[in-house]
Amino acid sequence: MKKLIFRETGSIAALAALSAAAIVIFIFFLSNLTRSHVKQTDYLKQMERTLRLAETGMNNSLGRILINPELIGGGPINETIDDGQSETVAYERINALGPSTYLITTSTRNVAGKRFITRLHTYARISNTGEYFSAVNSEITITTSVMAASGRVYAPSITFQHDSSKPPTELRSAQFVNTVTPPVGDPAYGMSAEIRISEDGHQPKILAVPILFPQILDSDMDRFRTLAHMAGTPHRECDFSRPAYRSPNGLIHIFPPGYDGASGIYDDSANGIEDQYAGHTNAFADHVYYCDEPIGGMKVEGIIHGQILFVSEGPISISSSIISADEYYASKGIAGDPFLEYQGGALNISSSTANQAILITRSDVFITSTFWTGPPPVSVTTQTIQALIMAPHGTVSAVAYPAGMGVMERLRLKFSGSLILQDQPQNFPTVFAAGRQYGYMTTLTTNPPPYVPALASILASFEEIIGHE
Amino acid sequence: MYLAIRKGVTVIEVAIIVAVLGGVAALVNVGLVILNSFSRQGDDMQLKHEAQLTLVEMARDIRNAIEFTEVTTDKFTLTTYNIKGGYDSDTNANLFDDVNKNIITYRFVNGGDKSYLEKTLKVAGSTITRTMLTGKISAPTPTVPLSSTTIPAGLSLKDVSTLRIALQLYTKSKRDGGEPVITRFNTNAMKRAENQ
Repeated sequence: MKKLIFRETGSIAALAALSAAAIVIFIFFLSNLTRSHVKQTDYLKQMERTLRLAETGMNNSLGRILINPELIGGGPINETIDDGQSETVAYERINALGPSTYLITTSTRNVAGKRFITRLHTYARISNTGEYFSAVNSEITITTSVMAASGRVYAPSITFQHDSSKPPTELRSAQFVNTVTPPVGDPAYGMSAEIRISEDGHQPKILAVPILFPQILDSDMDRFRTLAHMAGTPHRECDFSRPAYRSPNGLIHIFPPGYDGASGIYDDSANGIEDQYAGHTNAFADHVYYCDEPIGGMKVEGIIHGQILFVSEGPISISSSIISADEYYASKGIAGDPFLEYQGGALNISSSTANQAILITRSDVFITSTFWTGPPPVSVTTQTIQALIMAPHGTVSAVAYPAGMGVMERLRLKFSGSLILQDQPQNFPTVFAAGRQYGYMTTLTTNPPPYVPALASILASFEEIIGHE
Repeated sequence: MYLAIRKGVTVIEVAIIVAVLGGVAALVNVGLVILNSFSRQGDDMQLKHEAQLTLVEMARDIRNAIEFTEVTTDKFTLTTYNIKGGYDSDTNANLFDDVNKNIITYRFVNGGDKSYLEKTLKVAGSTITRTMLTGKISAPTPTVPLSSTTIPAGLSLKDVSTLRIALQLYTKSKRDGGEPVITRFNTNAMKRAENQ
């Protein structure tokens, strides 16, 4: 009897247990279904983040290469970004795109015990900065009559001023990303028009993606410090405007810090030129003067003999004219620079192949109000600046002379060189009210200066999805 | 049965059995409703995942593109380099040759309930076609085109770097007998290479 009752109770219990099991299995099934979809969605998100990491790593590595091309063919460039790592190796390649740099960037992220990996294969064209008459990372207004037939102009937005009554503007190319004024196709463009662009069908060219600008980081300044031997016997100089730098002819002449000592010192007594820098080294490759004063910065003026890099941790002040020796000798009726053998000179004591001032700073460049110090000039007076000015985090500004003194009204600027800036030049029309003439220094293309950061554009890029493991 | 009646415990037992069976039946009913709901949700999630995968593939093709050649309401075409022979131009000498260019076209094909997205890859004389989202995609419209972009004044499509792509999918299927609910999936993708 009891046995029978227990058996029947047992049946009820078994039924209840079965029902409970069915419910548990049902919930488990639903849970798995949901989890599977969450997993799929999460995978896509993680791979997307890994791709972004690869793109950032590639851009950062390319930026490092722009400052230091020796990284091409060297060991991997490693970056730790947020929650992942990227590793880039770079090689030189010559193919149907022309000479290019091939970067392989592998990004890896570890998330919840899983490793997500993406690889980018990128081909970039690295351009000599000096090819650019002006590269500005915001917007720029190109005034009338710019003579830069072999120089490029780049800015996200460009405005050309043009006036048929004035000489035309001549450029090799004009590259923009957002806007250009006048717009492409305007009759102002053409080889017989007011804005003469020799490449790209004589029109401004829109770039699909902005040019990658060099960022001068601490590591890059460290490299310049090394090039200036700051840890040993340094080529440290912050003031080239000191009277001690004046040659017998009354002008300041600046030479590269290193030279072939067997050839003697940089003196051209017949022309009253004497090299006043006492710290020359017998090292052909030395081209960098370094100033480690972040507040006061560096002062530069004078006649430039050879390829000289003026690198400053602080601002750079252009205290008077900076003139290439080419122009100086030409004004004296002397063909070529006697210090540069390739120009027909008797001496060849430097490795320089051109006379170029290269001003590099992470800060700003100022044209100070010290060019004219006496009573106001009676006629138009020209300040000449021939230099490659690289301030990719700043700009170049002209400091105003006291108003009402009649100085600025008679000052004129003759600039020849290259401007690599974050923002376009400031205050030029006010200070150089008597006129401004802009030109390009052709030797920046034909004889690129050493150790100068470059610019890059991407020619092709492919994603290789490695997946996760 | 006879034994159970005779022993006098059947009323309670029957009541319990009825209650348990009734409970189980109710649970099964609720379960079926939930299952049906989850099933639909699962379908929607699966569709969402499929849409995301399709968008990821389209966006990757755009990022790898060297130029766009056609962008319309229901179609876009772009050019990429074929990397089948490898990514390194030293080992894949033809990588950047004109003959090694891929022409990739995505287009909506209207087939009523069987409408689909078609991807065509043309390279070196051969054509590979693949269909996606069959029966799940709704026709693009001028207000929600498959692809769209802005061409700067005075310039052409090859100067464009960014495409906006959109898919309109049936996320509540017509099986319920009601009006289909369409959900839009979209993204912007920008190519990395400069215009050639």
